Amino acid sequence: MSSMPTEEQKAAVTKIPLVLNDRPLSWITDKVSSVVEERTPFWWWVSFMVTSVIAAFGLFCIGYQISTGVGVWGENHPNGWAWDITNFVFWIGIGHAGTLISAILFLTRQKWRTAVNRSAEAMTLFAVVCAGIFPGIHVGRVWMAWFLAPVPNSNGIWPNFRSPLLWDVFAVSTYFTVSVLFWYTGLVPDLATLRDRTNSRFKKFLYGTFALGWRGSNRHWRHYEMAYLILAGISTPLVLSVHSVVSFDFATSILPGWHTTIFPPYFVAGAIFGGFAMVLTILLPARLIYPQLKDVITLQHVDKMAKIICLTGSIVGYAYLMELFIAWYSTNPFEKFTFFHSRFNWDGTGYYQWAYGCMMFCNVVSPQVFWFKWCRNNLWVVFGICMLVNAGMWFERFVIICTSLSQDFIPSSWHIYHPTWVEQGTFLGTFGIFLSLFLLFMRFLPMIAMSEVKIVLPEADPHHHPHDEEAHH
Amino acid sequence: MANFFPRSSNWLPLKILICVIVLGNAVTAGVWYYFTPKYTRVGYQPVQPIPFPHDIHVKQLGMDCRYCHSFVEVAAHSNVPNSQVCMNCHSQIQKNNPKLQPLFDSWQSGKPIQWVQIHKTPDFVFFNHSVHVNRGVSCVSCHGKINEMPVVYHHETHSMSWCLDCHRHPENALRPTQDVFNLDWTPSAGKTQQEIGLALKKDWNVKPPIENCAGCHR
Amino acid sequence: MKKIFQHPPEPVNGKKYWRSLDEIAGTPEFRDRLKREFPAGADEFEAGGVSRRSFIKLMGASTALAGLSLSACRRPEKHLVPFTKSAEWEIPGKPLFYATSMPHRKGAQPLVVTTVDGRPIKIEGNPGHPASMGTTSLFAQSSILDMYDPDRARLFRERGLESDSTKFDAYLTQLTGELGANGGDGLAFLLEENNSPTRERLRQAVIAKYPKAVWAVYEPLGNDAVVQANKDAYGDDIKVTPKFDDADVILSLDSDFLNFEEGSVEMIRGFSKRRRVGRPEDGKPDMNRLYVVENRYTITGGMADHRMRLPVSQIGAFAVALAEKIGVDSALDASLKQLAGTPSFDGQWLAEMAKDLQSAKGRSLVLVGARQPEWVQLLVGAINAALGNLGKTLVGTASDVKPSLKISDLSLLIQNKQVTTLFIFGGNPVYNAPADLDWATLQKSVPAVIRVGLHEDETSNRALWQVPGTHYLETWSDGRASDGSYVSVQPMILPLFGGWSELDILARLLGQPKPEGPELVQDTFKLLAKPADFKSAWNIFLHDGFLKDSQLNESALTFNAAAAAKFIETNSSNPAAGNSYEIVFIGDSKMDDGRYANNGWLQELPEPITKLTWDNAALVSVATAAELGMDVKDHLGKQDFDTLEIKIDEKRSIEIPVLIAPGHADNSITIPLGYGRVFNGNIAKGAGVNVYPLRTTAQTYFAIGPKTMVKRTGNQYRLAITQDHHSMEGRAIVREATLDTYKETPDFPKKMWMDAEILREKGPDNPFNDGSNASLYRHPPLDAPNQWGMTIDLNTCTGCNACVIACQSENNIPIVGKEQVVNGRAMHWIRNDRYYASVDEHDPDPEMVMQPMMCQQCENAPCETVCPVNATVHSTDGLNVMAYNRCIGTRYCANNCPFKVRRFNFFDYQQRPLDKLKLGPLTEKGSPDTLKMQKNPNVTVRMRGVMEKCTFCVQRIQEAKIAQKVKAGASDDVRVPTDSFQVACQQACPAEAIVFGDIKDPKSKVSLLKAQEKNYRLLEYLNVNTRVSYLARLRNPNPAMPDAAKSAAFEKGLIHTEEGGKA
Repeated sequence: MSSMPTEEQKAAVTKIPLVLNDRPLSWITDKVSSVVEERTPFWWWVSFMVTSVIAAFGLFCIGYQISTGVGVWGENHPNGWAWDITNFVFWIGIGHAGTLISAILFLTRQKWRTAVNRSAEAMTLFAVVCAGIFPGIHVGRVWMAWFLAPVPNSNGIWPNFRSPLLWDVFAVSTYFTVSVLFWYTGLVPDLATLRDRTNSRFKKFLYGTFALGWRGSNRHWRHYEMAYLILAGISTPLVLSVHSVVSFDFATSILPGWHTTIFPPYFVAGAIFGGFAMVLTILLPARLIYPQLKDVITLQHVDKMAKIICLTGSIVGYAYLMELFIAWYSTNPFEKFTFFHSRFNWDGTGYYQWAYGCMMFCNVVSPQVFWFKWCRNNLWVVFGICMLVNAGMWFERFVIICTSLSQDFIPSSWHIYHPTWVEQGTFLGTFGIFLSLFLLFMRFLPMIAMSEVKIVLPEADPHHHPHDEEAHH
Repeated sequence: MANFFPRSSNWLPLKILICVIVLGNAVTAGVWYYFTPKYTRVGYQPVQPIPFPHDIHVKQLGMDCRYCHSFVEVAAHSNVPNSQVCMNCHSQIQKNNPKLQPLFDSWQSGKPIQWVQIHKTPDFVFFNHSVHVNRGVSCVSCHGKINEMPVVYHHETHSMSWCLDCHRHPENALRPTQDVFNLDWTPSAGKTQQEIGLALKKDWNVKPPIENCAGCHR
Repeated sequence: MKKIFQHPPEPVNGKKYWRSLDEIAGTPEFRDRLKREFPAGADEFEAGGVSRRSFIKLMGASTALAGLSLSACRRPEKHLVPFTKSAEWEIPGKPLFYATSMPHRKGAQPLVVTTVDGRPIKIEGNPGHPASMGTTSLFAQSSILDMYDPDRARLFRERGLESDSTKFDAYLTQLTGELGANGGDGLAFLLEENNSPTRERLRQAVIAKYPKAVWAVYEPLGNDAVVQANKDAYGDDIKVTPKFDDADVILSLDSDFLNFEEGSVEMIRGFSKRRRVGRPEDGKPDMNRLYVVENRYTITGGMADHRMRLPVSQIGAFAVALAEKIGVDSALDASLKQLAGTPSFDGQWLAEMAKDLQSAKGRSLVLVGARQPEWVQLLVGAINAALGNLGKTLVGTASDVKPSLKISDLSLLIQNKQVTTLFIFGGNPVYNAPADLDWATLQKSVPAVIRVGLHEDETSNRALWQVPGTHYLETWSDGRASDGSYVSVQPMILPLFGGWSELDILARLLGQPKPEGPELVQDTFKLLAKPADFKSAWNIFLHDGFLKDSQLNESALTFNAAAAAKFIETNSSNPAAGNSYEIVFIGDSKMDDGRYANNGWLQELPEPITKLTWDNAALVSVATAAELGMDVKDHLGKQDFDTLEIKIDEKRSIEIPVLIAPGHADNSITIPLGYGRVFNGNIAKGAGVNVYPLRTTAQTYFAIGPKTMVKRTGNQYRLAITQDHHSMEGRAIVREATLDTYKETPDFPKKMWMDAEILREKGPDNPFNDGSNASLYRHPPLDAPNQWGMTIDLNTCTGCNACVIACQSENNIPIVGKEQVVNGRAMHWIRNDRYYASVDEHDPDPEMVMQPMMCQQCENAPCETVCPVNATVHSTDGLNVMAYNRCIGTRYCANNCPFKVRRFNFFDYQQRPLDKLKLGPLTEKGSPDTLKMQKNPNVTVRMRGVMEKCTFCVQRIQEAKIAQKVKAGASDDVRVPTDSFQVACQQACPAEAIVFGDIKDPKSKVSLLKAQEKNYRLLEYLNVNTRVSYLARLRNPNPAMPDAAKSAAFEKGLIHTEEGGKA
């Protein structure tokens, strides 16, 4: 890309600049690297303490559950799944924004992505790590989980390839691997930059090793961009496939409220929706802490992401309404019951109408304020809405899983589900893990893809002459 | 600043790659061999309270399996003979053989002899001897040539896939019922085990449980 | 590997293993127990040296040894421990069956007990005996667990201090001496009711030897009123038994004859014979009609065609009104006038019902609950006489048990210091004697109390001697079945804790040595059977479990109206229905009078109507609840319930949680007895409230008092109820119609709800249907010679729960404890679903329907496709099999199961103490040995994290298939013969509602039933093709009745496909 600029590249450069106060290349390098290079600030230690304690508690809960039995959770006979799978789907969803930004927006030449893609991708990885925990620990006999692996064994049995759970295993692991590679490839040039700037031999060695001897030669850049392009190509279908596969867990079952063809698109949209909310939830504070980044992560970025949230939020809302319509239109008594009694509960025969309410408000109503520019540009509003959306997306999964399970075909088996402190602790713990990892990332790796941001700077354009701007058009 | 890494480190990735490949294969191979019943079970030959020689009793004296393992044809469990059975002969024969002392003790005291178990199915496997021996599966198929063993040892793997092999292709084990306890039986001249087996399988409508887990797991 | 193996000499480390065995096999008393087991006279058993019953001891030892030595390098060394000598008939791993019977206050129940390796593991009915025909009651099924109860009394105690049998024996010798001298002055016995001829014979002997001795019998749930009434009405000790075969119209006045009255198995069998409709062999559709008048829903009420809810205290008034309508013997007119009051119930209902009864003279039957006072019993006798039922639908038999003193009489004697030595055999008077007797204090005032009991319980505390009793599976005895035939009780195993039976002690008091074998029973047998060849006769007796043609001879019934009138005039009191509450004491359908309180299966069994486990609760109607100021709205997921304080007087008051029971009579409060035990029973501990303190001699079954005696405390109490929702939400799950509708459209169930359309689409007239029910997945071919299936006849199923316990004991199903049941984690493989159905939601008189629900063995099983590890797959004979050891516990299968019949082991229920489940690894592992002994060796004991479910008793299926293949040998005849075996629930079901068999075989019972038009499958809409199907329920309402419209309307409510009326 650093070769001849295309017309639209020029255009992009001449639009509202992606980096404000036309900062020079060196400024970018200094400011971004400074985050890593300055001595560890106090607030970092404090927050890292807190998050890692939470994470530790989460791990304790997991250990307790594995050693004692799934019974320490609140799950019961109709409700075979509850918070465990809710959290799994929730975290997997979070991840999607990262891949979307880095892959699809890259292929579609959305230059504004460069400011946020690095941290979005990091977020993806950490979210998938958290997600991966749940399918792992929710089984009754973790120590037998290797039965899921398709390896030849002396029992002469294979896993059941018809089961969506098995598809999950493949989908999620692929997703994780590709995301790691993608993220790492992008890091290489910046790692090299850090290597070259630092003076400590130790850091030099570390960054150096991971920079794989990057020298920024033309040849390196060619390979790098080829690799990056290919990986982007590979991960693009993943954005759609992973959450589709996750949605199959429900869509291929027979439960009213699960058994529906709308799930794959609806889940993907939801995932991107929630993902972007989470990106903002993390970047806005970061931007606050590191004012020097304000020029890179500009209001323009926030505005764009808010628009995406508004769009995907509306798609999700459409899906919700369509579910209700189909339930009514199909005249299928089970579907009707699930949606109009279990979820709406207008005659006291449902358990979870409040959860449905939260979901509807947070996911459908609240993002609509992003139709208004001042809402998109008021960071407090944006942050607030994003929080709501995060909560809403969790409730969406909870509603889908619990309302359908607690009241299905045979009324005599209906039973309510209450979470225990262990489930709540585990969920909290995953937040601890997620944030701790993110803090580490902020501290030791460049939060912003310097090389890529530089590419979108006017200076990156070989025909750039600061003195006669207007001569160009 | 001078180049931080020595030139040699350019080859590092390649070296690492090679090591990984070699190690990986080694580990796989190791697990493949040492972690499977092929290694962990076959050849297991514990110390018995009495070194009971099957070869003498069966090969030399020509005793039938069912003299001692009397319920093998009627019960799931092929019983180990109780002291009474041993004493039927040994009250007369080898009276003073010191090796038989544990037997005489148990006969006196009424305390059973503790034979060390060799062939052992897990608790969740419900193997039934009677249905096998009555349908033309010989002892030898699962226990090897016991009749030639001075002291019994684990001859087959008894792993699940080993069971399934036979359940998928019973023709490799089937033989005329009268020869089930004749461990030295070989297919009559001009016929292969396959041919005989297939014929019997058809005549007897032999359909061992394969995907029907309940056949062995209840 | 194949080297010549030089065998080293055996290392001398064998010693240590034997410690545990010495205790059992080595000790002298074990040896002599062996000797005592089979003395002269029982020599037919002495085939081998060691007996099957002592064999268990060796087994116990060998299990104790297993895995002790870990010397082997490759794997822990296990040992094979054969016997030293062959045990009679014992083939390791092969079951043996012995006939015996379970003594019960209303007659022994004939049984066949399965023993494996010397351990009794399962109880079935005795197929040879007419009173059982192979079926059993709930209590018989669960009694096996009572024997293995680890909390049973193990020690002889003298003044609470540990002692032993020899000391006790010495004490008895001394006592016999003293008593012999003074003719048994001050000697008294208090026993449970039991009709064992041997006990009766010994009793006579004891009384002969000690003329001054006193013999009293106490049953908290006895039927003194009935006995007295029969005496007055028919003279003599006559036992009156209903015969349902030719009873076309039945009226039950507060009589739960299908569940709790005497001989319930026989009753259900007889009754259901007349409910079973349209079975080819039964010919034309025809069924009896049942009217029920009761204060609360019983399973009998659930079977009713017409039901009236009426307070127990008003039943008398109802009987009076009925007697007038029907016109009984004129001798009674006076007393009827005296009793006549303004009826508090629907007169038209009664009138039409009376007409119906009269139209069926001699083919009708009026039953009255044993709890009703004698004058009501007499009135009903008169009614039956007027209807000409005596000798037709009611037959009398002479009883050979002589009457005894009541506990009240005995307490008088004690008060007058006339009792110095008191033997209490079984029972538990301190817990359950009438409150006014203050038995605890009385018992203390007796110098010497000798208590023989299964547990060290409330009564044992103050006894001079506490003697461990024997369970009926451990002892020799006999009895009479409910039809009066003479049945045997033989031990399956030596007394686990070396107990003494009451017969042993009676024998000792007669100066005889403690009987070592059956000699006592044999003597009785000689008297009764007068056998020519004793030995063979005795063997046949033991083999069959009963003596042929030994029923007590029938005696003609002639109703003595004069005597009845005399009694009624003097003794009747007819409380007017007024501004008062009645407290009704009922025997609990699981705890009986409290004797089963330490039986985990029963404690956790959902009560058939309320679905309540681990507790008892007061039942009230909606109106009464509202009156008491309770919130009557039915909240989903409600777990905490109000409690009531019931205070009859200063000394008599309790606090108990209260449940709103649909169909309950107003101003009436029903409380089950049998809970709130206080003794060292780990199961019974903390289960429910003791209600006996409210109960007096005068008010045995109900107490009436001002409304002020009951009030809400404002406290809440957590109850474990297994069913949260009571309405079918308009889904045709249980399908029913009136008999008339059935005659018009026999296939009405297939027309109900969505099925009409769905079946048409599946059917041949759908042009798009190519016959194959399209499925994405390849299913294994269903090509096995047998294809297993099941039908359940909702028309005969009463919901008695016998199947649930049968399943539990057959399949090693754990109990999970109250807290887990509250969490919705009960493990029963069979659910007995109970729905209330009414067209108008607020109808205080809803219908009640029952439906047993187990794995439906879908051919397109949703659970199979989703299991990621292939732990549940389909077998070629159509079973949805479950490989426990493959399951990793994702619970996905359970989620995708439309019937929600899969059960998950959330904790290590089989290994950890139920009260400390949440401490997991911090608690001690392993269950008590005795409980291990009960486990069925052919079924895997599931660990935590594993899914389980009904497998159609696959172990029985496999046994049958293997047996057939063994038989086939070198031939191709591998098809299991038609109906050659039964599954556990089917075998237990007294109504024969559950039928299992080969649906591929057109002649099998199940195929014939599935061929019926009223056979239907659940959730056809899902195209799961279940192998279990239901026969729709029929009701036989009397069109003339005021409430006849209801059933019809209800049925219409269902036939509509939309979610019509709340059905």
